[in-house]
Amino acid sequence: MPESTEALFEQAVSLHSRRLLAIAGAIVGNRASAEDVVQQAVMNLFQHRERYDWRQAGGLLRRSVVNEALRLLRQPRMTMVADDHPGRGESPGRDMLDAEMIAKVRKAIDELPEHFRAALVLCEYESMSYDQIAEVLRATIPQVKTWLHRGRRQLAEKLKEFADVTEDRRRGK
Amino acid sequence: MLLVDEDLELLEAHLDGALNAGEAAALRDRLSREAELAAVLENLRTDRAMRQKVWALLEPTDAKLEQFVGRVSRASTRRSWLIRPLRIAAAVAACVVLSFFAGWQFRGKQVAHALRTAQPILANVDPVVHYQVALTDENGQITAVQDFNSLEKAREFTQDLSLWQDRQRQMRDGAAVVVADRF
Repeated sequence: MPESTEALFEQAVSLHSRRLLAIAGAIVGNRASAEDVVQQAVMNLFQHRERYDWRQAGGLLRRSVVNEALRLLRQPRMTMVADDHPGRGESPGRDMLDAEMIAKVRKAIDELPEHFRAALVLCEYESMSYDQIAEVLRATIPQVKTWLHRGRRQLAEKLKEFADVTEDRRRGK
Repeated sequence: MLLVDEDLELLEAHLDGALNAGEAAALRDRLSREAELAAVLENLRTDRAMRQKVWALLEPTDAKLEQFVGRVSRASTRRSWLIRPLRIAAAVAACVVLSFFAGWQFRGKQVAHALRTAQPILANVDPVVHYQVALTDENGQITAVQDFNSLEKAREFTQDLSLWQDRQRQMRDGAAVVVADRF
């Protein structure tokens, strides 16, 4: 018996939510709740669920989440949410320096323009090609390349100072 | 050797897997000859690994994930249950509106028909025996039936009656009627 659209929808949400939450978190940072972003995005799709093929829903869900995250960021007033994503503070044995570096990198990423952030996470975390990213972000491939390049350069600039300090500390200066 | 921006873009494209076979081979050749370029590539790789680590930390734990999936599932079920009765109610409302509209239209036609048939209706009831002219009021109701032996007489009566009705209508509506043309 063929599965109902609702059942396929739930399967797709269950299968992709882990990555979707990370993508949403990477784009909105602490300006909104990643869970709210993903829930809103999937419920938007659920409203017109008969239109989509839920057996191959990865791209659809990703696109919807990215759009919802960017839409939220465009709203004039954003409420800061508690910075409580899992993983943070859950590894007491983690090297302090590593944890500090991660916090710095996260802060630097959060300070990037939203499209740079979105392009970076889709490229480096989701391993999407330039044309796929261009489709999701409704941009051209040269635009995507520019966003990625500038984003990486800005991150490198922001982290350079911290990296130098860290290197000095490692050497015991 | 000083690295230019294009070199960085080339290395980034290499790490993104965006170079074609020829470009990748040319870059490998350069990397084997240029130690500084290879060092920069290694730095870019480290930076990327750090970012991937940051994003991986944003992934929820199994418990949180389960909680979230449950939340979405409840929301979708709620919406389904909310939408189903709404759809039924909307369908019923649409039917009522359509019926009302159809009824209204039909009523309108009856009125129009009654106005049209304010004329006498000539009916050939029995071609051999006689002819009938039915008189209707403004609502289309038959108020009288006049029998005639021939079609000619029935037609004559109908024409006379129509003429009389026109005059009555003109008088009622206040239209000017020419009573004499002797100038």
